[in-house]
Amino acid sequence: MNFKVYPILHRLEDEGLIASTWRVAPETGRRRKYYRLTPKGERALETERQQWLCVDAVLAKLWNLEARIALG
Amino acid sequence: MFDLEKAITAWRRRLRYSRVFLDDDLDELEAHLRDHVDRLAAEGLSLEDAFHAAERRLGTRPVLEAAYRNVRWGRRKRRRQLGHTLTTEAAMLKNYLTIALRNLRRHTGYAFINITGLAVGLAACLVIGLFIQHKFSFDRHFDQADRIFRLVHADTAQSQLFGALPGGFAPALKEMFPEIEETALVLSPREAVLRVDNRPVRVEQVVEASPTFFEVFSFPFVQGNPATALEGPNQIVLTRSLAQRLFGREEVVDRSLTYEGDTYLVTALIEDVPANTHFQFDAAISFSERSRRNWLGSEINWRSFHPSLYTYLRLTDQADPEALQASLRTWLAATQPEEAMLLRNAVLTLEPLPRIHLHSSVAWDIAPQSDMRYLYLFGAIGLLILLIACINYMNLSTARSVRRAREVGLRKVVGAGRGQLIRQFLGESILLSLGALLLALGITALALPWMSRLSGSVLNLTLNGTALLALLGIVVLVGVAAGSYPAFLLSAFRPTQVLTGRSPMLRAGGATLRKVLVVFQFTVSLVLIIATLVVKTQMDYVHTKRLGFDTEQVVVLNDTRSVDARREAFRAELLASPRVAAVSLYPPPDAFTTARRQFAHPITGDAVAINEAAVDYDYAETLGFQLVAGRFFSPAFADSSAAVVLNETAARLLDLGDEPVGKTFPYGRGTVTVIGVVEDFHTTSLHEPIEPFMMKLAAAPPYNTLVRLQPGATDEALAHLKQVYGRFIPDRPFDFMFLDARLTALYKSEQRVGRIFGLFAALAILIAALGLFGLAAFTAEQRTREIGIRKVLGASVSSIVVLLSKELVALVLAALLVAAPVAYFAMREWLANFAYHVELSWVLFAVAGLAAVGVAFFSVSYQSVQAALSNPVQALRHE
Repeated sequence: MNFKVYPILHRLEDEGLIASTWRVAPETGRRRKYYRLTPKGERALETERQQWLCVDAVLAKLWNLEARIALG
Repeated sequence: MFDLEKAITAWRRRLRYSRVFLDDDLDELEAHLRDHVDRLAAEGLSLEDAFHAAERRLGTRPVLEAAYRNVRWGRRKRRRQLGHTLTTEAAMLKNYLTIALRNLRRHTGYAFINITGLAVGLAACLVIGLFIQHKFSFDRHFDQADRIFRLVHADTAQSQLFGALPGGFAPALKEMFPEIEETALVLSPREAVLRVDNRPVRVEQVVEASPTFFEVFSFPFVQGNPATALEGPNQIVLTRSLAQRLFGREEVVDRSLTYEGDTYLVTALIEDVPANTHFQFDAAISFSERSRRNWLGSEINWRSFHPSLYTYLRLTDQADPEALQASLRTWLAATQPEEAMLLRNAVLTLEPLPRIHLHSSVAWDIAPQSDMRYLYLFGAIGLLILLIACINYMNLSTARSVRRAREVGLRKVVGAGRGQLIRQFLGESILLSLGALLLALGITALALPWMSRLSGSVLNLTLNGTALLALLGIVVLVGVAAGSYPAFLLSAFRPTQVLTGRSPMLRAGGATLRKVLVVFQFTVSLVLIIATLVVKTQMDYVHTKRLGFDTEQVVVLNDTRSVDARREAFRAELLASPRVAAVSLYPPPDAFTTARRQFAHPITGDAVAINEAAVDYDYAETLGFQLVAGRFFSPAFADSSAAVVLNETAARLLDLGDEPVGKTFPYGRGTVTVIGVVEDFHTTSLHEPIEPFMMKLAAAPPYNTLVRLQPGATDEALAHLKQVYGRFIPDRPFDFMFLDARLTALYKSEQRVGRIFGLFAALAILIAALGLFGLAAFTAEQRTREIGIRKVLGASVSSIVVLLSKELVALVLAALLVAAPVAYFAMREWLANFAYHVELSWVLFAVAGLAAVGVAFFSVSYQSVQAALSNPVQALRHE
C-alpha cells in the first residue's frame, strides 16, 4: 500500500463523506487512524454505485448490440 | 548501531519543515511507516534496511508534499473565505438594520400606512379564520364523536328532513342491529321554572334525556356518575353555573328541587356545556312520567311521534355507517305498517355528529344550526381582504423602493454584490411583514370579544401549530413578494445610470402591474359595498313591509295556559288599564305551530292544505287585520263554530270566486261558511311564500296571550301587565315579548350576515383607501419638479389637482365596471332565497360607485392639493 491513499482520505473527510478517529490497534499497541463512512458518505457511495451500474448496463447493452450487428 | 527511533524522529523533522503537513498527518504517516518497517523486518531484513526500504516506498519529500499540498490548500482557502464572509456579513447586517430603521424613521407615515394596512388585513383574516375554526370544532370534542350519529328521517312526499323519530325506534333498533352499541334519546331544550326552597328560578334550557344520554355524550362530570345520573325517574343533572344560580354553591348532589310540582333529586354536576355543541342546556332531567307514557315505549308507533324527540346512536368501532343506513332503510320499508298514515314514506338517514352543526337541515332542529355556505362566504371574504392588504403592502413597498435606487447605486459602487442586495431587501421586507403580524395578533386579541358578540359565537385566540405556521408562511411570502421587486429589479440597475439620475426604468417601476392591482382592490371593495347595501335594503324591506297585521305595540305574554278557568277575569283585568287597547287569548298566527288541515277543492276535489288557527272575537282587533270582505267574528252575530274567516290566499286556493263571503265548503263531516276575508299576512319569514290560513272561533286553552297597547307610555303599560300576570300566574316570572322582536328573530342570521358584510366592506375600503393614499403621496412626490414647472408656467391649483387625481380615479371607475356585474349576479342569487324581495336597482350600484370614487378622490386629493399648493421655488430646488 502506498501513502497516496491518505491525501485522498483527507479530501473525502473535508467533504464530510468520511469521519476519522484515532484508536490503539490491539495487535501492535500503536495508535492508528480509523476511517468510516458518514451517512452523507453512504448516500454518495450509493449514488456513485448507481451511476456506475448505469454506465455498466449501458455498456453491456452496447456490447450486445455490437455482437448482434457482427452476427447479423 | 542503527537506532530506529532516531531515524524516525529525523524523518519527521525533515517533513515538518514543510508547512504542508499537520502534526496529525505526520502521526498518520509515521504509523504507516512503522507498520511497514515491522512487516519488512519480519521478512528478515535488518531494521536499518527495512527503514530505508519503507521510507523509499512511502515517497520522497517533494512527492509527499505535492500530494498533500492539494488537500491543505483547499482546506485553508475555504476556511479563510468562510471567516471573511462571516465577519463582513455580520458587519453588513448591522448596516442593513441601521439603514432599515433610518428608512422607517424618515418615512414614518408610509411605514405606518404600510404596516397598519397589512396588520388590519391579517387581523381580519385571522378573526374570520378563528370563526371558521370555531364552527368546525362543533361536537368534535365528544369521545368517539366519529361513531355517534343522529337518526333522522326524510319525508319523501314533502322532501323535507325531520330530526325527530318516535321514541320506540331506539330500543327496537338496538335490539335488532348489533352494530348499534348504545342509543340516547333527548327532548328539545325548553324553558322551565325550577324551585329551590319555594324560590322560583327561570332556567332557559332544560332537556329531558334517556338514562344513557351521558354515556353517549361525554360531558365532563364534576360530581356524580354518568352511568347512573339519569337512571331513575325524577333525577336532574345541573351545570356548574346553574348550580351556582340555584344553590349558590357547587356541592349540590343529593339536594332536591321542584319542577312542575314534582320533586327532583340532583344526582350530578357537570361542567357548563361548551359553546361548540349543537345543542345547549343548563340542566338535564330524566324523562317525565308524561313523556314516558306518551312518547317512549318499546314499539315503533308513528302515532307517538313527538316533533322534537331526537334519537342518537353510537355504533361499534367496526360498524360501517353506510351499510347500517342501507339496512335500516330496507328494514323500515319492510316493517312499516300500511295503516300508519303519518310519514308513510319515511327514509331513515344517519347524520354524523360532527356534521350536524354545519350540514344538517332538518325541520324543527334541536337548536339553530349554521350553514356551510356562509362559512364559505366568510372564508372567501377573509382571503379577499388579506389579498387586498397584501397587494397594498407590495404596491407601496415597490413604489417606495424606487426612492432607494441611489442607495443601491452607492452600495454597488463600493462593491456590493447582487446577492447581497437581494438579501438585504428581502430581509428588510420580511422583517417588516413580521412586525405587521405581531400588530395583527394584538388587533385580533382586542377585537375578539366584540367579534364574538357580532357573530353570536364564542371565539378564543387559540392558534394551533398548523395555523400559526400557515400564518407565518403567508407573512413571509408577502414579505418576499413585497421585497422581490426592489430586490431583483433595483439590484440589476447600472450604478452609473442610477447615480447620474438618468434611469429610464425608475419611472416605469412596475406601474402597469400596480394599476392592475389597484383595480383589483377596488373591485373587491366595491363588490362588498354593493352586497352590504343590498342586504341592508332587503332587511329594511323585510322590516317595513306590511305583514298583513300590526306588530308594533303588540305584546305576547308567554305560557298563560293556567288562567284557562279564569280567562274572562284575566282579560278584564288586563283591559282595565287605559294603556291597553285590546286583548286576545290566542297566539299570533304561525304556520309552524298551527295545525294543517286537508280540504277537498270544491270543484276539482284535489287536496288543498290550509292552516287552521283558533281565535277569539278580539283577535282581528288585537293584531290589526284588514278585512277585505265580510266581517270578523263578533258576539253580536252569535257565530257558531261553522263560521270561518279566511285570508286571501286561502280563498284563492279554494276558488271561492269574487264573492267568497257566504260561500260554504266541506269541513270534516259538515260544512263551514265563510263570513269574512282578511288581507294576506305573513306568518313566517319572507323567505317563504304566504301561507293559506283559516280562522275559527275556539275554546282551546289560551297558550299565549296577545295584548295590543296604546301608543306611548309603554313602560307604564308593561308594569300593568306584569302586575296582572303576577296575580293570575304567581308561580311564573313575568314572561313577555314584543311581537316585532319575535319576528325580527326570524332574520337573525341574515342580519348577522349583513352586519359582518358591512364591517368587512368597511375594512376592505379602508385598506384600499390607505393604499391609494400612499400611492398618491408617492406620485405627487415623484412629480414635485414637474408640478413646480407647471406652476411657474401658470397652471392653476385645480388643474394640478385634476392632473394628479384623474388617473387613480379612472382606475376606480374601471373597478366599478368589473365589480357591477359580479355583484349583480351574486346578489340576485342571494335575493332568490326570499320569496319576497327588493329588486336590484341601479341606484345601489351608483351609490357604491360614488362612495368608492369619493373615497378614492379623498385619499388622493389630500396629497395632490398639498403638492399643488406648495411653493414652486422649493419644488424646483428639490433634490
